[in-house]
Amino acid sequence: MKFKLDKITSLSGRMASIYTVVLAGDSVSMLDDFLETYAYEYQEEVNNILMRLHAIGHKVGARLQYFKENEGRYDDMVCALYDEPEKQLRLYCIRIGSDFIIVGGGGPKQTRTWQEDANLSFHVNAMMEVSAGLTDRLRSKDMVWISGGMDLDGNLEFNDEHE
Amino acid sequence: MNKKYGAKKANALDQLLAKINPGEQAVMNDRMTIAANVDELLKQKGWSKKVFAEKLGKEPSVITRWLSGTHNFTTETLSEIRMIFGVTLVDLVRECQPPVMLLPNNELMQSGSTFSAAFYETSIRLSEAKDTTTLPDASAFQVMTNIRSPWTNVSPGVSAQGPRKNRVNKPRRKQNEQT
Repeated sequence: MKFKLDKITSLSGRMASIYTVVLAGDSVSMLDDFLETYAYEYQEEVNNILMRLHAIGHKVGARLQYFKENEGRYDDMVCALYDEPEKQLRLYCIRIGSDFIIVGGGGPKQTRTWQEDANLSFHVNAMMEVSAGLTDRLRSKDMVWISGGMDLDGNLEFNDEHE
Repeated sequence: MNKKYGAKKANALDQLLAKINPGEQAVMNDRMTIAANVDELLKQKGWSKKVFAEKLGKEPSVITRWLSGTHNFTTETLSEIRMIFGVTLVDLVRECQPPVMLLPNNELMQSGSTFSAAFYETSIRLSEAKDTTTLPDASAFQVMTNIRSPWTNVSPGVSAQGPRKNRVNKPRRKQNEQT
């Protein structure tokens, strides 16, 4: 998968940096695509998720308690943000500590597991690939943490199928 | 702009953010702040969610919901919570502070500050040492760092677990496994 990481300056703040994923060939980020797709049908949930992201960046940080954990494979840090526990809409993220998250896409979870839903599977698998790519870049030092660990520096474009 | 990525168009994020009511955002901020402070108080007391639920006569699932930052707390609930913890209502709404990291010179540094890579590497090692579900007590931390633990007596909103969790720990561990 080819993609790049972009910092979302409007959501990032003193408590956490929030990045998103732009897939190669797409004109908008995965977050923007999520918002465009669901803003009308799930207006309240989308607004609440956006407000939660804003609060995470500026007020409270990306504390683990705000996320549904272990949405991906063990150890890949993929989790989900939601409005309320009983609501359906899920926004998949990679949470690396309480001050850094990467937001991807998502959708309504109407099946017991995300594996049973093609749309959710696409988004969770995409975030797992992003997590793997990020791990490789950090390991190879092609990407490093800066600003006290709140930002990434280096090559934020991932163009190789297998890094 | 890189040609591999399409020309950027007006994004939905900015449009939706512009429509958010500041009052609603403030309510969300407060809910999540209370949740963060309750979580910090639980850590300080060493109480699990189950223990806390028993003290309040609630189901653990209720506590999970409170901690998720999605619950609209009533004043009655807030009073119950603050009495159980022995704190004031102000303590429950205290503004959260950025995570604090320990530097080799025994100074504390909030994330977002600029500091040297060597300091950062050290903070990562310390983070790994404390990055456990069952936290070591303060004396264990003193042995590791030969200083007084700065994580004791922290106010709500400041991480009692010390440095951030997970930051490049996993890549580092994997790297070690290969060697």
